[in-house]
Amino acid sequence: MNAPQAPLLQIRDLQVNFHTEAGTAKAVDGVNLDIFPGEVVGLVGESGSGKSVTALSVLRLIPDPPGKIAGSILFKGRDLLQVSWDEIRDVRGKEISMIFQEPMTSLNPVFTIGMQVMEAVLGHERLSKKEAFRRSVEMLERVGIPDPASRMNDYPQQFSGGMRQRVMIAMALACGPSILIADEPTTALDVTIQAQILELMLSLKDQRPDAAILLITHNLAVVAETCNRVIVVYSGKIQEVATVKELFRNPLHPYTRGLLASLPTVDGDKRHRLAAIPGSVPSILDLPPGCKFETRCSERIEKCARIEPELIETLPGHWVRCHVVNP
Amino acid sequence: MKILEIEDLQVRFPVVGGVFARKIAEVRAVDGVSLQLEQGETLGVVGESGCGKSTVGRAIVNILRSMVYGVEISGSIIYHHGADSVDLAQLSRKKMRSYRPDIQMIFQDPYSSLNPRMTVEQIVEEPLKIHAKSKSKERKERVGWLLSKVGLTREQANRYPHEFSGGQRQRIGIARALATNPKIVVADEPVSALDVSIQAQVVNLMQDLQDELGLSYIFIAHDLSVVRHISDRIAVMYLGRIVEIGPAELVYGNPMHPYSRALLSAIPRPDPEGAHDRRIRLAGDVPNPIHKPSGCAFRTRCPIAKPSCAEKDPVLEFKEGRWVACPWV
Repeated sequence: MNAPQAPLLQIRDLQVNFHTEAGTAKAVDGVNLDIFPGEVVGLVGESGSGKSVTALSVLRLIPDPPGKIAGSILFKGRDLLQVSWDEIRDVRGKEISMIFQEPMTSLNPVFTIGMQVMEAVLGHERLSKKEAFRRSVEMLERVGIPDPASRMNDYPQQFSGGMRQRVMIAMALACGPSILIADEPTTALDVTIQAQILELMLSLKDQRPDAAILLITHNLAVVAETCNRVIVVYSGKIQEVATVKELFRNPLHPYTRGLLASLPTVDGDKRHRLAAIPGSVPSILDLPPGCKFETRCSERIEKCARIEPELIETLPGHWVRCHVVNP
Repeated sequence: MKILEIEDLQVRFPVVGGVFARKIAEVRAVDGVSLQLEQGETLGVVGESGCGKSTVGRAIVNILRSMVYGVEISGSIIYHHGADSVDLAQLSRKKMRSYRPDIQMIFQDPYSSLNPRMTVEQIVEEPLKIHAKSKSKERKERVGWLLSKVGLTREQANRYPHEFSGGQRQRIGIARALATNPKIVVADEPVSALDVSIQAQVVNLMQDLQDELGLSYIFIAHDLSVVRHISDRIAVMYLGRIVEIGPAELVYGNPMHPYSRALLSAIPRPDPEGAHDRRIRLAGDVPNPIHKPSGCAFRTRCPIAKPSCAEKDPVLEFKEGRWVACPWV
């Protein structure tokens, strides 16, 4: 990461709006984001902050209507938002693959696990069915499914939540993608299984050191343990970007500091009061004109309500969007 | 003073199958749980999904028989009120009614646990209508007081649940649970559906209400850090049994049972510079509760299992200030 490398994926001024009866919802508002080869980037935010929408836009999985995507997403010299559906189909699963939150619903219940993993392989590579079968068994074995050859004929409901998420990872990694996007991959799982799944995802890097992972989560502890760089989003805007060590050592944005302070600790003192952030996230149908966090911020100054702050590189590699931090 | 004493609680759910939906097997969701709750304390119950922690909570509020046909409950749940005590496990639905005001529940999902066709005032007032013989005016006053306690305004009383955010809805659920002035509140995953910044608000609220009203909580959750934060004592469950129970700082600071140790070591810490090699990795998943392993149920994943673990059921023994169900620690 130290050598100046060309980014693998460049998101420029991404805007995603949903036109609904109640008005236009600005889910993502001007997100710029680079993903470099070999890094694990964490995208952190609360529900409604636009983190999942950002990820779905990369593979153009936003239904249109009601969604409208603007901006550009550059990947290997192409703008993914401009290419044809055939081209984006070749990218999905082969070069950029995705793992979703719900292992219960992201597999098709009427097809066997084997058919679904093989479909992922056959969709992108010229292989015979026999070879695809062999490759699928290999993938299932790699993600730690015991006796994979016989489990190929089982249906999703015969697998536990953790096992299904393993199958999803096997499918996502089957074609050796250069970017893996994981949207809350462990939220539905128990902690012991969560640890297994995160380790498995990171093992992609053993096989392909230049591959990158974009991990979307609301869990800051998961970020601390897996990511190199963190992007904090709030109400569709990036609020802070820093390396993981810098962010936890020296959080600058009031929102990030509030989030970190509100975490109950396992090792710390018992029964002190948690530092809660007052209020709740503003509706994306009706965002404040200035800083999006202004309504809940304890450090707001007069101009916060009027003028939206810019994302500024406050310290080398540490970007913050706040009038108080960047006067 | 003990307010609740559970002795050898067993809950068996029938598994039905075939054309006539006959009982073909049973799941022992709770398999001999004993625990006590002191007045004014918080007992945290943790464990992975399927360990029976929610079933214990539901057995305490005695709603299992209404939820599942053919459920078998044995053992005793003694509730001490004043000089009297009563075994809740054996009460009929009708007899249970007179104890319901004392034992209330907060549910996990703030979206589905509130009736969308009732206003907030009606929701919070309903338990008072059923249990308290008070005049309409008194009830309205109490609803106003309850809403102010949980941080909602009187003007919001006439709105419907969909007009509120998740955190606010959970506050409504808490106000409803507190309406009848309960002694014991069973909170089943009360904050797991909420965002991190909102979780802290609800946890703080629950602690404030406990201090003010002297409530006793049974706090069931899979988020181990939240449980640690709010609980005085903690019970760790695995496949229907308590494997370790004791003061929170002992169970979390120095867990003894191999399962507690693995579970607690798996919690991600928000500290990127901390040591990451502390994790004890468990192999595989929780076994199917219909076919539980013989002897110690944890032996199939246990790093220190010995052949004799398959034969003998471990019992809870008192070691270093807490109770542990493992003979090898």
